[in-house]
Amino acid sequence: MKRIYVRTIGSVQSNICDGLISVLGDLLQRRVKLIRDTGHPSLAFEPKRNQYYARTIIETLFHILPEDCEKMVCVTDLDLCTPILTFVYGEAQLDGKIAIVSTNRLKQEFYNLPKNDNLLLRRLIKECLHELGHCYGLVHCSSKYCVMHFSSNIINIDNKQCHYCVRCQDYFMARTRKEEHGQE
Amino acid sequence: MAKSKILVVDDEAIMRSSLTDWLKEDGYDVLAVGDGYTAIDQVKEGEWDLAVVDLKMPKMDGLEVLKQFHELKPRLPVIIVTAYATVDTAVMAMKAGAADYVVKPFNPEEISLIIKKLVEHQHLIKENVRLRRALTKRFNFHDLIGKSTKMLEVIEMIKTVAPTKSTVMINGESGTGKELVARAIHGLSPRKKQPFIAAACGAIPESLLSAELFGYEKGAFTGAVSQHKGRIEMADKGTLFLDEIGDISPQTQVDLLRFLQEREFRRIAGKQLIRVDVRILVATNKNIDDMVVRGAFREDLYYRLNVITITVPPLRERKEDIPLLAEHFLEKFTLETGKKVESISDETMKNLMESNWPGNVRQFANTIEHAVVVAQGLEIQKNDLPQHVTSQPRRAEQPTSLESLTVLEKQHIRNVLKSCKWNIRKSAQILGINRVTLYNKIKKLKLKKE
Repeated sequence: MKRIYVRTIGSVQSNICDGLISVLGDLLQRRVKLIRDTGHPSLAFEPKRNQYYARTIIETLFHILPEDCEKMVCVTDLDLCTPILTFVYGEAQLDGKIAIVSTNRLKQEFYNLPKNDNLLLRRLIKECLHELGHCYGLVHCSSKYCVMHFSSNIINIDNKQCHYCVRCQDYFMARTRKEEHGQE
Repeated sequence: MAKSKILVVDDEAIMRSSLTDWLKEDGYDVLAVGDGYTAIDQVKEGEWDLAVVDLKMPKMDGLEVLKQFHELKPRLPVIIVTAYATVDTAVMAMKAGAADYVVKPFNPEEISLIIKKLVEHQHLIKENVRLRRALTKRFNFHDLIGKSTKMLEVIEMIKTVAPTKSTVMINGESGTGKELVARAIHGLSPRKKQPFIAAACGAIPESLLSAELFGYEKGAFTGAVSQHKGRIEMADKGTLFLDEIGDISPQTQVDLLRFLQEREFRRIAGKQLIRVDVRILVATNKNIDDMVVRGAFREDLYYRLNVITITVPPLRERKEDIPLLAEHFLEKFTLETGKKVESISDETMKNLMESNWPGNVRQFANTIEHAVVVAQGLEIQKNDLPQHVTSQPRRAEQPTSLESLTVLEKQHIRNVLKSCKWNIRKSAQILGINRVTLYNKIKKLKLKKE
C-alpha cells in the first residue's frame, strides 16, 4: 500500500517532525512515513539571492522517490524562492508527486518574535496540507479560511484553518480514491 | 465559472514555467509563449483576460508587443515585467498603456493582488456589456425598442390588435417607426407567414400610384407592355401597408374607398373582378382630421381606415428610451461596420438625452451610425457626434420666446438647409426624414434659397 513520505532536508527540529507526521496521518487518513535527509541541496542555491530554488530541489528528488510513495512533501529550514517570486513558503508539482515546504519564514524568530514551536507546527501543517493539495490537483481556494487559500504573508497563513473547506475536501477525497483505485 | 485566461510572454523558459506553474496553482488557465510574434498570433486567435509580458526580449521587445496587443484587443490588460527596472522603462510602459509594471522577481503579495484586481476588472467589463445587451434584448419588441410608458402602451396596443383583421391607422411624426409598428402587427398576426407588402404613397408619383396599387393589363397605357400585378393583389392573404396615406390624390382615395367597401377591384383596363383577402394598415405623419375638415381627405375613407388608431410617440416624449436605443444601434452599427466601439461616454449620453430629435429614431440611428464610423477609441465621445446634435439649441430648457412648433420647425429646417448649402440628400439625412418629406416641408413652409 502506498504512503505519503515526509522528507526533511537540512536541520528541522525532530519534535516538529514528529508532530507533523502524527497530525498529517490523522488529517489525511493516509499512512505517513518520515525520511531524514541531512544533505545540502547546493545545486538549488542562488548566491545572488542567498536563497534556494524550490523547483530545483523538487526536480532532484524526483529520481529518488521510494517505490511505495504516493506523494512526498519535503520539509526544510532553507529559505525558498522561485525564479519569479521573491520567496515562497512552499512549492508543489500541480497534479504531481512532490512538494516542498520551508519552515524558514514560518518561524516567529524570522519576524523578530519569541520562538513558539506550537505555532510553527500549526503553520507547517497548514502549508504541508496546502502543497500536498496541489499534488492532488487542488488549486487555490477563494475561501480565506480554507487551507488551500493562497497565502502571500504569514497573517494569511494564521487566518487559515487546519483543514480543507467542504468543496476542496470533496475534491481531495475523490482524488485520493482515484489514486487508490489506480494502485489496484 | 470558466477559468480566466492569462497569456505569459517571456523568452526565458525558466521564467515561463515558473510563472505558469504559480498561476495555474491560482486557478488560471495559462499559456506561455517565448516571443512576441507567437503571442500576437495567440491574441489574434483567442480571448484573453490578461497578458504578462517581459520587457526585454530579442526580436520584439515587450513595449512593441504591448502596442500590437492594443491594436488587436484594446481592452486587454497587459502587465509589463522586467528584471532590469529603470524609471524610464517604467514611464514608457505606463505611457504605452500597460496596466502595471512589475519588477522580477515579484513580491507574492504584490503580484497576486495586481493580477486579481485586473482579472476582476476585466470580468466586470464583460459582465457590464453582457447585462447591457440583455437589457436591450429584453426591451426589444419586434425591433421596437423602449421601456417608456408611452412605448409600452404602443406595444400593448399592437398585441391587442394583431390577431384581428381590423384596419389600423398608425399616426406619428416622420422617423418614429410607423413601419416597424406595422411589421410588428403583421408579425404577430395569423397572417405572419403570408406577404407583407408596403407602399410609400408619398414616394410614388401620383400618376403611377393607382397602377402600383391596383395593377394593370397589357396595353392599359403607353409602356404597359405586359400584365402587372398591383401591390393589393401581391398582398393577398397577407398585409398591405400604405405609408403616407395623407398624400394620395382624391381619385386614388375614391378607388381605395371602393376597394375597402367591396374587397374586390379591377386592374387598370382589366375586366375581371379580383377578390382578395388583405389586411390594411395605413400610416401618416399628417393630421388627417384637419385634412378632412379642409376637404383634402375623404371623410368616408377616413372612417374606413381609422378603425383603430395607434399613435407612435416622438422620441422627445420618450427620452428615457434613449440609452436603450443607443445600446441597440451601437451594437447594430458596430456589427455592420466591424468597428470596435463598446460604449458611449457619460457626457455624450447627456448630449443625446438633451437633444430634441426632430427626425426622431431615424435621425437618432443616423447619429449613432455617424459616431461609430468616426469614433477613434472604444468609447464614443461628444466630438464624434454630428455637429447638429452637439450644437442643437435646447429650447425646451431655456425658452427664449414661446413660438409655435411650425415656426421652430421652419427655423430648424432653414438652418440645416443653409449649413448643407441646400443639399437636399444631406439635409434630409441630418433631419432624419426622407427627401420626399423634406421637399413637402420646403413647399409647405415656403422655404426658399437665400
